[in-house]
Amino acid sequence: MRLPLRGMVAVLEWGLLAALLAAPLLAQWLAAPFWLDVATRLAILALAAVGLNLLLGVGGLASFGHAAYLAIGAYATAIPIYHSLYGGGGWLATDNGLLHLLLAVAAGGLFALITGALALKTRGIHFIMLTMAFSQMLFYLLQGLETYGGDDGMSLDVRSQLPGLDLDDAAQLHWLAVAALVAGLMLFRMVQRSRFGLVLMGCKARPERMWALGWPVRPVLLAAFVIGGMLAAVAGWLSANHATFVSPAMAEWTHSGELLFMVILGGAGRWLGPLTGAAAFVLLEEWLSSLTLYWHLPFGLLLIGIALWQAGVLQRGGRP
Amino acid sequence: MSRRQDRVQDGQPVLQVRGVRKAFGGLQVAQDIDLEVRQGTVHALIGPNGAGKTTLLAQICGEIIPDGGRILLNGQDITTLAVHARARLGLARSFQITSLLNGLSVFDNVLLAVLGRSASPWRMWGNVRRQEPFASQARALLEEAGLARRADDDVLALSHGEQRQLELVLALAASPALLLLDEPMAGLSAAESAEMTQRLMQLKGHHAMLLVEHDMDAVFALADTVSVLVNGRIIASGPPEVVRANAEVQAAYLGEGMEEQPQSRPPA
Repeated sequence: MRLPLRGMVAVLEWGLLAALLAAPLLAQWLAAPFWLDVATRLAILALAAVGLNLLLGVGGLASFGHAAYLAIGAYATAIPIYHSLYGGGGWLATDNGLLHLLLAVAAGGLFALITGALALKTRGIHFIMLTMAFSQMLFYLLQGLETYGGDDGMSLDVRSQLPGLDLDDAAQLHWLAVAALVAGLMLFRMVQRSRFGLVLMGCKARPERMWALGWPVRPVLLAAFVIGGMLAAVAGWLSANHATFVSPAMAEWTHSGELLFMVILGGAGRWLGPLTGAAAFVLLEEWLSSLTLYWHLPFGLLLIGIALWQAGVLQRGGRP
Repeated sequence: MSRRQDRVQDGQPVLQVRGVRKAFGGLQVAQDIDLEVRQGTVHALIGPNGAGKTTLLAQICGEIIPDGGRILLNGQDITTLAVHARARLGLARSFQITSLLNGLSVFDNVLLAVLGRSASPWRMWGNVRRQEPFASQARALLEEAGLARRADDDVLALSHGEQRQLELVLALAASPALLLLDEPMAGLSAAESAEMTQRLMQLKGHHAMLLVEHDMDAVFALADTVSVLVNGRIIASGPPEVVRANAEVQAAYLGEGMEEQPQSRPPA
């Protein structure tokens, strides 16, 4: 029973990756540009979820503030573009996409370093609450930035400029997002199999024992927290260019919850899990919202069902 | 017997506890504790529940920082050093309640123990399970402990006896200078307990050990020195026969202490 299921999941995951790669061609062939839009969003969310998968799946850190990094990456793109068009901002004013990326990663990493250092003084539910509180602080901070649209957010009037790429072309933007996702997945794979990854798994299992074995638990967890934040900040950079719109709502804790769902849906700690999780999330959302305005209800019920199934409650002779 | 005495005199002190004090509120859990563990010897720490044995161990391994006094490992002051830094200086411990890395394989548990003494955690590339010489060392340790065929199993799948065995392998993996054993016999059957005593006998002479144990047979079989801790104070210390004969010790502990249950959590 287990093996065929695993095989099916593997086929599904690789199939999804192939479909993502081919999405621009498929969309053109089917004359359905809308689905390319969905596919790009999926790739971006999956990348953010890969970062969270490193924290939750490998390091056991349930961060409820991961959407903050999407917002940080997005604003790190939108603010320089705003100033490059409308003046001011000093050194920040640039339309260079690589600088946007650099700024996104640096800002995301710094935010993770500071908030992580504080949040990691706690464990479990306190850690969850602190990460959530920090992301809400960012949410209110962004709301207060009147220059950048306050709580309405702001539109990007041009996209990031990249050498050799035109992000106004939906297909090119999509492939960039997929390339970033694949790079993120490969980074995850590499880290998970490495010594750092094993130490991280040990920290998840039992920190007291890891101390006693000579491992500096908190710095290791903090490093994972920073890497996970940086990955999501890259997703934020892509997201700003995809939606050409940023708003404080990106940092809201409900979005962090969605990212957690994606990771758990795909199987925390599994390499390609975030891809399946993000796909299930985005596609269900699209499908159910086309059926009913009240799509959150069946969506919630489905999520509960999946969570119960994963916990073994719905299987015959399920775990107590 | 006489060989044991020789070792006691020959060995250099590995661990020195000098005048260590600790209070939780008004409760003195350690009062001017002096204690020494010499190279190649076993020093047993006994005492009734709530005497402060676990708190003293916690201070030696760094989970609790003493209010006063000094702790030296191979002459180096480690009184305020972090737990993992002490481990890297050669201080290893086994836990009272089995504390393996659940969800990881037996091999991964041992590999982390082997790496923990010297390897940097920051290597984020390469397959850690194939990296030599660590992987071979981990395999050899499992072979030696008779757990090789369990290498790929989750530690949760091991029997209680095997888990206690692995617990010891983890503590020994980094060839520590000092081994802190927190009730290694806890929860073992009589036969398993005898086996564990046997195993510790073999290790004696290779590692200095500080043993906290309720099983008096094991204590008197293994220890070169016995210290008795009562109400946060060492009331007697010396060779097992002398301590056993000490009237104060008998009154305070041994008389009623033999049958008592192993403590399941540290004193408040």
